[in-house]
Amino acid sequence: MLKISLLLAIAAIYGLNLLDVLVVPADTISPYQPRSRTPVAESTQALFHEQFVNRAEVVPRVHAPTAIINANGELHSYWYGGASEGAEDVAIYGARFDPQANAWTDQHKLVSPVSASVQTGYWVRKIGNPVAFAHPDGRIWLFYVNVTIGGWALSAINLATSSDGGRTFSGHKRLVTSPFFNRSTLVKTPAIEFADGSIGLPVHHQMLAKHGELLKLNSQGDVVDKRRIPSESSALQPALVSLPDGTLLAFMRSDAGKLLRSSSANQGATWSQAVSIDVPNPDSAVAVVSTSTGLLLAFNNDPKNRDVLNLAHSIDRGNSWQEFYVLEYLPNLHEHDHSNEFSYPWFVKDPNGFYHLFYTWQRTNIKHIRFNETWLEEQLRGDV
Amino acid sequence: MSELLDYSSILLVASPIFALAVRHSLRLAAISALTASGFLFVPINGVSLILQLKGVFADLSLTTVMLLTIWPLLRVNNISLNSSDFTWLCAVVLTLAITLYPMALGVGPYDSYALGYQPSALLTLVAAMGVLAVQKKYWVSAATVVVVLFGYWLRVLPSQNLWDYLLDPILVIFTIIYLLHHLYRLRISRRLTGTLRST
Repeated sequence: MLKISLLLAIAAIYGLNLLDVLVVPADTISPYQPRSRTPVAESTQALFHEQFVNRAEVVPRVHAPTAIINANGELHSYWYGGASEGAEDVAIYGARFDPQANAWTDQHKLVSPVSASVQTGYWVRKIGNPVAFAHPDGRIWLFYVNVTIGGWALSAINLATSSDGGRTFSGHKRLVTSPFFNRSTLVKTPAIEFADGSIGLPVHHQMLAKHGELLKLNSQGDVVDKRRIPSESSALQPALVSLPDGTLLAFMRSDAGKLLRSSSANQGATWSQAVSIDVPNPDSAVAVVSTSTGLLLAFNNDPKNRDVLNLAHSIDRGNSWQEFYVLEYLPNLHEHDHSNEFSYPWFVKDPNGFYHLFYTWQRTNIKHIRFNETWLEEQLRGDV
Repeated sequence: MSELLDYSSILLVASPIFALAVRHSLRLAAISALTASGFLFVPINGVSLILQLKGVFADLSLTTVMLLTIWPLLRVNNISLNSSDFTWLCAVVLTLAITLYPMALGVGPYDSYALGYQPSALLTLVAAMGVLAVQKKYWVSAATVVVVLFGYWLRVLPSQNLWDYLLDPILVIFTIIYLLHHLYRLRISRRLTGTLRST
C-alpha cells in the first residue's frame, strides 16, 4: 500500500511539475526590443555640461555610480560611499537632478548593511555596486552587491524596489543566483528589457574563474534563467548594447589588458566566445550606449591605469573604435599610486536627446557629464 | 510553509542538539533544542543569530530540511535509519553534486546550474530516482523525492531553480563525511570477517 501510494505521489507531482515547465517554456530568451521613446526635441546647439553629483563632505570615499530616468522624466543617481571600499559603514546614497536649478539635490542615504539585513532576512556585512533600472511598469529597481563573509568574490545580489520614482526603496530581497551558499554573483552594468517583459541583468561570477553572465528575471524580480558568456580570458562586468538588427553585444573588462567583445544573435540565449579587441583595458568597467550613427564607449584608455577616461565611437558593431575625446587625464606619479582614478562609467540617454555620463572621480566624487547629439557630432567631425 | 522555511536554519542547530540529548531523555532534548533555537533570535550587533546563519549558509535545500527533521525524530524511538537507504541517498546526492558544483563554481564555459531553470531532464531523473527508491523499499529516499518535487511545484523556496530544492553545500559536505565513514566501517568489517575466516 505504501509502495503504491509513493509511486502515485511521485507520478502525480512529476506530471504537475512537467506541465508547469512545458506550458511555460523558459528555454529561450525573447528578442530584445527597446521601449519606444518620446520623440526627441533635439537642440541644434552643441551642449556640454559637467558637475559633481554628491556632496563630498557627507562621506569621504564614493564609487560606482548608476542612474535612471524615471517615468516622470526625473534623473536620479545612486552610488555607494563610506570610509573606504568594503568598509562596514558603506551605504548606498541617492540624489535627484533638478533641471530648473541645474543642480543635484535631495542627497540621502538609501540602504545600509543593517537595513538590508532586516529587510531581506539575511545578514549583510557590507554592500557595494548599485545598479538602477527603470522598469516599464513605472517602478525603479535597485540591485546592489552585498557580502556576508569573505571578500567581493563571495558576493550576492539584493534587489529593492521603489514606487515613488526612485526616492525611497523597500521590499528588499536576495536574488538566488548560485548553488554555492548563493555566492559569487556581482552586478555593475545596466539591465536591459526583453519584449516579453522579462529583464536581462548582466552579472559576473568570480569564484574558480571569472565569467560574464546574463540573468533573466521575471516581473516579480525572480531569476528564471542564467547564461554564461564564454571567454578567451577572465571576463567581468559585461556592458550590453543592442544593435538595430536585434544582435546583443557584450563588452567586458579583463585582466589581460584588452577589452573583450562577445555577441549574441539569439538575444542572449547563447554567446560567441568573447575575444579581445584593440581597446586597452586596465581591468576596469566600461559603459556603452547606442548613438544615431553607431556606438559610444566610455573607457580607461590605458592597459594598466584608471587615470585616464576617454570617449570612443564605433561604426562597425563595436569591432573597432575611434577614440575622440579625453574626459579626464591626470597621470598617477608612480606604479602603486592609484589616487587619480576616473572609473566605472555609466550612460543614460534621456527623452530630450541628452547623453548623461556618470563616473567615479578620484573616489571622492561622482561626476555627471551631460551632452547632446550636436556636441557629439561636432566632436566626431573634429569641428572643435 | 514558505514562511516556516525562512527559519529552516534553526535545524542546523536544533537537530544535532536534539539528536544528541534524546539519548538521555526526551524532555531534556526538547528543552535543549528549544532553548538553543530561542537564542538564535537574540540580536547581536543589531542582527539576530538566525539572520546571521541565513546570511552565511543561505537557504537549506528541501533534502537537507527533510534529513535534519527525520534524523532526530527517528532517534526518539531509537530507530536507526536503514543504512542501505541512507547510503544510496547520499550516493545519489554526491553524484548530482559532482555534476553540478565544478561547472557552477566556474569551471568551463557552461554553467550546469542553468539546467535547473529548464528542468524537464532533471525532473525526470529525480522522479526516476524516486521510483527506483520505492522499488528498493528505501522509504526515506522515496519520501525525500516526494517532498522535493512537491516543494518545487509549490516553489516554497525563494528560488525558481530545481537544484536549490535538491542540494546545498552543507548536504554535500555531510554526504562526503557519511560515505567516507561508511566506507571505513565496511573496510573494518571486511577485515574482521577475513580475520575470523583465517582463524
